Amino acid sequence: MKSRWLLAVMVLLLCAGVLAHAQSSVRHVNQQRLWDTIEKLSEFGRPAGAAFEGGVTRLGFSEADLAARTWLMQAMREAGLSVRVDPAGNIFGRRPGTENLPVLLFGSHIDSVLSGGNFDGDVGSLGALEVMRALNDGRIATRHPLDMVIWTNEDQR
Amino acid sequence: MQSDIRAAARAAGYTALDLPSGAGHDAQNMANLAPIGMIFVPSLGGISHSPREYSSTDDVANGAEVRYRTVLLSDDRLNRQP
Repeated sequence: MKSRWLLAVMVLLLCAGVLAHAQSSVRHVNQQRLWDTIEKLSEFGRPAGAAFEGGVTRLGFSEADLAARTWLMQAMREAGLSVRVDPAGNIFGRRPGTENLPVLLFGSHIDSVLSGGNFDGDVGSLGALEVMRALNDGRIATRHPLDMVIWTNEDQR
Repeated sequence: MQSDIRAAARAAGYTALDLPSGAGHDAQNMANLAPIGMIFVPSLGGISHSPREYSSTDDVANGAEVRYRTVLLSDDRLNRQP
């Protein structure tokens, strides 16, 4: 009788373990939406006639950079963020929190070097946008306000 | 911040390692103002500043997932009344 109980407990623990693992490997961000957004950004400053693999030249404050910034700020607004640009040109997108606390800040940059790639900076920037979108999907409220930031002209010195 | 990133990666079921970064990005400038951390995703051949830089869609999404979880962990942990 005692051993039967023990077995039951072990089976329960095993189930709990499997469930916990399934729970933990759930992805909250949307891989396809993130990738589509990265591909869209790659069109700004893409070499003529090239594909995604051809890389990008999106120097800070160039025409391609300014167009990409305009596009991204629109996407940020569509994600419900209030967008502001500081005097240095850094872009901030605010998602309000439920308490009066300092902001949690995360992001990267979307400018590139001459003949750069479509990952450096872009992954961190659009990953930040995807975090905001995923929080919206889950209707998740945070205590702290959240700011995603796009640093201006990170890749040139 | 970095311990939250580690915990987030673990909770998502990903393997992770600590990588002291030579690349400062803009985190080095922010480090004077607040705790900072950076999340790196695997990069094929470690190539950067080139059209040949590449990370898989899976790794890119995993990186975003780690950040999602880090935000929620930090949001829960920070600025609690004693």
